[in-house]
Amino acid sequence: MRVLAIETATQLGSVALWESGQLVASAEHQIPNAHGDQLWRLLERCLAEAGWQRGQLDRIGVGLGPGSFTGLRVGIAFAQGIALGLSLPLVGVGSLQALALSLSEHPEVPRAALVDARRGEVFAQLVSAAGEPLAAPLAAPYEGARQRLTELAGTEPLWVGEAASLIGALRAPGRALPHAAEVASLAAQLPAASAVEPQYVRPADAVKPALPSSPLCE
Amino acid sequence: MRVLGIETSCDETAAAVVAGAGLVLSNVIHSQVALHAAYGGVVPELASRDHLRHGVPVVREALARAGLSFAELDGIAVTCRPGLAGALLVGTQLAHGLAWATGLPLVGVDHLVGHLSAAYLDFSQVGGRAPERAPELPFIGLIASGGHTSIYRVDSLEPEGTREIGGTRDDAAGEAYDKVAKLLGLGYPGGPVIDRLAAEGDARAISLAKPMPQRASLEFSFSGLKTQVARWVDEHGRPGDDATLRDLCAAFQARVVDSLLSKTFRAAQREQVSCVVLGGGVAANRELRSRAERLARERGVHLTLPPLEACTDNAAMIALAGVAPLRRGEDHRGALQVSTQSSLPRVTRKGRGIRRG
Ligand SMILES: Nc1ncnc2c1ncn2[C@@H]1O[C@H](COP(=O)(O)OP(=O)(O)OP(=O)(O)O)[C@@H](O)[C@H]1O
Repeated sequence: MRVLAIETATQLGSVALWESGQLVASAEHQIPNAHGDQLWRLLERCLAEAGWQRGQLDRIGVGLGPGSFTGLRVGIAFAQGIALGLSLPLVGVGSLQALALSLSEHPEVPRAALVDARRGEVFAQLVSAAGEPLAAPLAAPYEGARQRLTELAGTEPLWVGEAASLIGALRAPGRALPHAAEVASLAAQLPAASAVEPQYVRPADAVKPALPSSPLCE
Repeated sequence: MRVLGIETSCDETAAAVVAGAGLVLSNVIHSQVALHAAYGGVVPELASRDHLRHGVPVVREALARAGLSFAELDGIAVTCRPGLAGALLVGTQLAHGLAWATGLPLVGVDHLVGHLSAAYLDFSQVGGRAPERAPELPFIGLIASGGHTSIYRVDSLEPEGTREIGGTRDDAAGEAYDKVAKLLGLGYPGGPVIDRLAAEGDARAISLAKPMPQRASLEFSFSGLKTQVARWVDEHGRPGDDATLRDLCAAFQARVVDSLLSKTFRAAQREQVSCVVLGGGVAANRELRSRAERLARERGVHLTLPPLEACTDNAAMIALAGVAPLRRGEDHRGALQVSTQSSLPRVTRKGRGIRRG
């Protein structure tokens, strides 16, 4: 099975091609606010490197976050367009689950994958040694996040991702940020759903006005 | 030439397929009005979230209703400006992914060129009507919506042939409707409710001053009018009875319609153009439409009032606006930028030159 995956939850934007348990090609960029401009180029580069035609793809994978709301949507909308245009299944993958998978050591300890959520918080998710999510991703203030996640895990987890330093935890060897390579490997295994929904974790900022409505507007 | 249009610039997720000269083969719109109603206006983050959820089903539906597959299309047009950046990105990225997958050329379209093209759309195959008489170029176009209120001289339906010759200094006309409705507790959007209530009110019962009365100016200002309504409410309280509320709506609407029409027809006179086209959500207003028709008859102006579905945001107008650049062989694949600003050149406020937004 040939998988094309896209990951844009953080400032690292990446594209990867995956086949039979192997990474075939990948490309990434870290230009701020430029996922929209860069994805096309990364995609073309990967396909050229792999020598694949777009008609040979079998499924599309995409990172669902959590991360930057706009960044996520840039990658997901692009992936949706590709899947629709090629009539292929689209598989959404948690970006933190993908990040946890990048760990290069494999002791039997839970992992806590972390990315910076800005506003003094991290997005975090606990993932089992086997790679299964142990809970939904959450947002936690830097202060106290390490203790809270340790309590939730029942033991000190392995901290994956550069955001470990934000909560005073020691980072285990693995990727700094979620990458499409791991998104692709998970997308190859997970079932395809009919629709993908980003893991926003945080609600949209919106305030309802207090004004009562007039009976005449019915 | 058959073009798929995609529109996500504000609070409508829309897709449509249009054939060459403007024949609409399908026109699908998912409106977010209900989603934003509780907030009294569009919440950008909620709009973006909803576009992402509905983009794919809306495009699918547009193709299904047109009875076409991607292979039978000649290109894709997507709104890339002006609008909410996050909302525009959902549409342009979806379109980009589609273009990559299908190999179809892709062009980014200015939403306002879309509104100005809407008068040429023929809805006869999708349960609507064909234009009685398509406007002849050059024409004077008024776009009055929730986000824009401007008068254009249109020599060709492209950014290069379209010039803004007058515009609002502050609020858009639709925005004024929405804000006044909010003040009066009439919910969101305000246009349709005020339209309905005003029809039964007496505009002369409450006096509000004319906005931007200077005869020579083609500029609008609606925020003062809104402030006058707010002041009226401060002094008299929110109208306690239906009749007063209707009168207040009628007085407000009369001023808005006056201002929009007098300046639009003045522009036609000044530019010596005999054709006038109205567009944008406010062009759905019944008083505006009937008074425009009367004025046009009196002055011998050829007026085009697009059907309601062509006035409010839709993707058919975007598809049509994409036809000319696609025909010319333009292709923005891999290089499509979004912008919150229109690309239409504007005569600067003092009229001393042209600048690009
Ligand atoms: N019958 C009406 N009378 C007056 N205003 C109306 C009427 N119907 C709708 N409107 C107003 O039109 C606006 C919606 O217009 P439209 O759908 O064209 O675009 P928009 O999303 O607000 O902005 P834009 O097209 O500039 O991006 C709202 O402000 C609404 O109150």
